[in-house]
Amino acid sequence: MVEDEEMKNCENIVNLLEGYLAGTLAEAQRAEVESHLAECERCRKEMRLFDALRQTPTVPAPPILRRNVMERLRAEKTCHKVRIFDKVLSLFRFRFFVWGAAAAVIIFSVVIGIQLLSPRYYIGTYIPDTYRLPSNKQEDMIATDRTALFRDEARAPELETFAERALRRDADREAGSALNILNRFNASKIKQVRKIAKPAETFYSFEISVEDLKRFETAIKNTNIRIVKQQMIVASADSDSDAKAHKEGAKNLFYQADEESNRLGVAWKRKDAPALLTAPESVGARVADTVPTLGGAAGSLSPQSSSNLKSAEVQVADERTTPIVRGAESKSKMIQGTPSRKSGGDRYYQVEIGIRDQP
Amino acid sequence: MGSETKHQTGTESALIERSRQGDLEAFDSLVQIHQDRIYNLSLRLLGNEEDALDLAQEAFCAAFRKMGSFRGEAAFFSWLYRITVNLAKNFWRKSAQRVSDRSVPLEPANSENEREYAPPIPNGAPNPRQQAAGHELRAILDEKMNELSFDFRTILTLRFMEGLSYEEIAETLGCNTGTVKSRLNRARNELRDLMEPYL
Repeated sequence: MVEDEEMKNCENIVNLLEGYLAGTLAEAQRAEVESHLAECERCRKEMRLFDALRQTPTVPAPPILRRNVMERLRAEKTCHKVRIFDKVLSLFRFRFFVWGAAAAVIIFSVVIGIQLLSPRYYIGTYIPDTYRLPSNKQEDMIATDRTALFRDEARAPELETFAERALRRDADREAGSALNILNRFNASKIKQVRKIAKPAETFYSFEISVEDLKRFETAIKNTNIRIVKQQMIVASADSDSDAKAHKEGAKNLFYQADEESNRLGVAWKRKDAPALLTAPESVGARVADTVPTLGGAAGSLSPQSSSNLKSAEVQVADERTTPIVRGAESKSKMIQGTPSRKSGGDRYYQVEIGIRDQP
Repeated sequence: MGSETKHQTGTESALIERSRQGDLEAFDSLVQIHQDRIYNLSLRLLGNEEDALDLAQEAFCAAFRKMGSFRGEAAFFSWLYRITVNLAKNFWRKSAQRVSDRSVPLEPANSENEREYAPPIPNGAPNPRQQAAGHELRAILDEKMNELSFDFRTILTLRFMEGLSYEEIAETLGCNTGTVKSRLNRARNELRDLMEPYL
């Protein structure tokens, strides 16, 4: 009981110690504390602890504290402004990106749509109507141009398509066969090349002119050549103008390529026979060399007689050269076959032959 | 504004209001007014100048960022104290971690040198060098304060070193005065037990 009482008393004193040390106690309380402390070692220790706690020195804050705080806050404020700017900018960037992506998709779709819908475009390469592969395979005409038998450098860029390259490759090969036949039978014309694809066979069709049809038929037996169509033509009986033309042809008309002229603008100049007669071979060679560059069919240009060259037939398939050559063509018709004809009409056969792809 | 004038002077209230609007110059003045108290509180809570400087800086910066949330219900310095104490807890944890990391022995304690660097025995006699310094009790108190839990050290600091009333401590710590009194009592008893041999 005595200890409890002492403990309670000590607690009271401890509660007064702060005030005692601060000097804020009333005189009576101060006296009570002092008398207790004189007797109680425990409370004296408590007082020393309070005193030590109160004696904690206060130091001034180092100047760097304030300086650092303000520097950091100023930097943060700037960063904050930058962050806001960045946010706004990124918002714009995002919108630009979205709109840009949408525009790209629309443009891409339109371009692809045009590509798909347009009949004139195939994988971005222009194929002229003449050379487009028709869908009907019963009788595919892949080339009606006579010049397909020959390399047509003038039109090469235009014809450089996958289909055209394939055609040209085949045509060159088959043309070789056809020309051999022409040479053997003196057939002087190759009008067109067609590729005919049927379920059972595929063959190339040529129109040629043959003077002796029976001999030709015999020759092509047991070969991959067969006659598709034939037609007899009597050239000289066509008209009076032809007969007249023959005479004119006999009167020294010929055409010569002016090599110094522009390729498409080649002027065909009329020359007198004597000049031609002086150097027939060279003139014939020049004409033969020049015409293919115009898209003309050189095969029909070969001098009909090396010793008596008076005419050359010029066939030009390229319509761009037609205005220039048309006159020449008509002239050449007038003198067609002149060397071999003394009088009257010339009879020959227009024959379309087929050369099978697989013999 | 009315509640602000209850706790702050007119000048301080104006500075607070301007700071809330983002006025750095005004806040600079507030820092100037309170820097000593915040720095000393930091020093007492963490026990070393380097950490105290960092803590005080963090506390002021955090205060500026939070100025918008200061409504004036409490005194500005209580509000600053509260921020400081809350931040100090994290600092103290990191600091304790550093001390703990440093105290990991690299070799087994089998050499003569190991005894020289061994941590002081809590109930051992006072260091003679400390006694000779004249402020031995104060030094020992600092050492023993560091052995207390953060909450006890904080409440003893606020009460006896900073001289805050129970109400102000309650405001600072965000608790009621009853909690303050009981915690203060327990903290003091624990400190007294630690200091007993030196008193």
